[in-house]
Amino acid sequence: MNSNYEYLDVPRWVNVLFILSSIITLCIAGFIYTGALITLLVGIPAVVALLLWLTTTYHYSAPHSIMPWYIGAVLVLLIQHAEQWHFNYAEQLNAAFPQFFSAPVVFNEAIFLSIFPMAGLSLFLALATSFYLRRPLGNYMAWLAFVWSIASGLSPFMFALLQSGGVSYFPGMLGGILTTALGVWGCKLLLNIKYNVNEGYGHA
Amino acid sequence: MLDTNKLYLGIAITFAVSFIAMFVQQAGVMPAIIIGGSMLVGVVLWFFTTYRIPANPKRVLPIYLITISLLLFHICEEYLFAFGPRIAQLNGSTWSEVEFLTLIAFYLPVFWIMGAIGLYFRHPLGNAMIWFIFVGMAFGEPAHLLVFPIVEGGRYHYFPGMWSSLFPLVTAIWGMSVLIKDYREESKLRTAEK
Repeated sequence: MNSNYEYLDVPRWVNVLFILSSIITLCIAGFIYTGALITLLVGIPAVVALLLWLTTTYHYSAPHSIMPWYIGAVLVLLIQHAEQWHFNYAEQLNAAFPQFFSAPVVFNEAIFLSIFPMAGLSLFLALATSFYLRRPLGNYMAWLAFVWSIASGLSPFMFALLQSGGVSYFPGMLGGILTTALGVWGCKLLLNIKYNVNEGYGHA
Repeated sequence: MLDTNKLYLGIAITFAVSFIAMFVQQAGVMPAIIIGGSMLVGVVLWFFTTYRIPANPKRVLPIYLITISLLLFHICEEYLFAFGPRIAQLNGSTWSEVEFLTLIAFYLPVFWIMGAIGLYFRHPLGNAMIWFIFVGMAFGEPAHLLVFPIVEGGRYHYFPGMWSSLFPLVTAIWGMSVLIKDYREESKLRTAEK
């Protein structure tokens, strides 16, 4: 009887397919509704995190000790998003790069708030559970949390440099220092895990 | 010498009272009673359980993380359907969308997420926060279905946050049952050791 249920143990590679499907679907939806800039901003970190995960914690689970850093990354992202919201990030982005936001593309305050600080962080927190339970999907989310923290931290600086009308403050720069620092530290921790066969997921 | 646990109790009570005061001022008395009342019940339950014997994070942290994740999702629905201004209308207060977002979408989630880190390290304040959230969800969220639409009057209708309000309640009740069970087991163990 038990052997029948073993077929329902999700093989590790199914997680890869699930993540790939999610990235492709979300990138296409992002491109259609919010345009190329936002899609690249989210899509590139998602793919980089996937590659880093496949070469590291796909094969063995990260230890529990990284959990506070994962949650800390979510915390500093929230603080950065608060800064971005306070200084009209969506409006500033539209003004700085109008070529990416021509109709029917829309990226306004409501979309920014719904995607980044609300739905996005909600997803990170829900899948932190998977990381705590040392599941493959949670290990991908840990990579995504740290890589996304770096991307989210550096992007306001990039926008400040590239925006039309000269270099000036861009919303998210101050919080971006925190998110970048924590993201780099988190990536370093994940890269430095010593592989131990007993720490593996148990089945391939 | 100062008992650090008493200091944490003071911090938790101060947090709850200042939050209630802010909530009364911004949103009005009715939502402040619902949420503030839940917070004070949370402090009492915390005091009688995990205040001295912090919860085992292995048992309760995943449930807490799912609860705050569902809560953020719920806040998203509230924001998209103008919960703040509707509550303001209901109470004759001046709670604007900006004030709602500042308090509910940014200020408080900082403490909720810090609570998860505190819970991981078995810190008393992390344990206080988990009780705030669980009690708040269990007693506060049903208001979206049982209080707000009825108080607004007319035919029973949609109120912002209604569709996603019961999901964090489920995990909160589950979490409280785990907290109480864990506390009972742990205190039995400690008594036996003595």
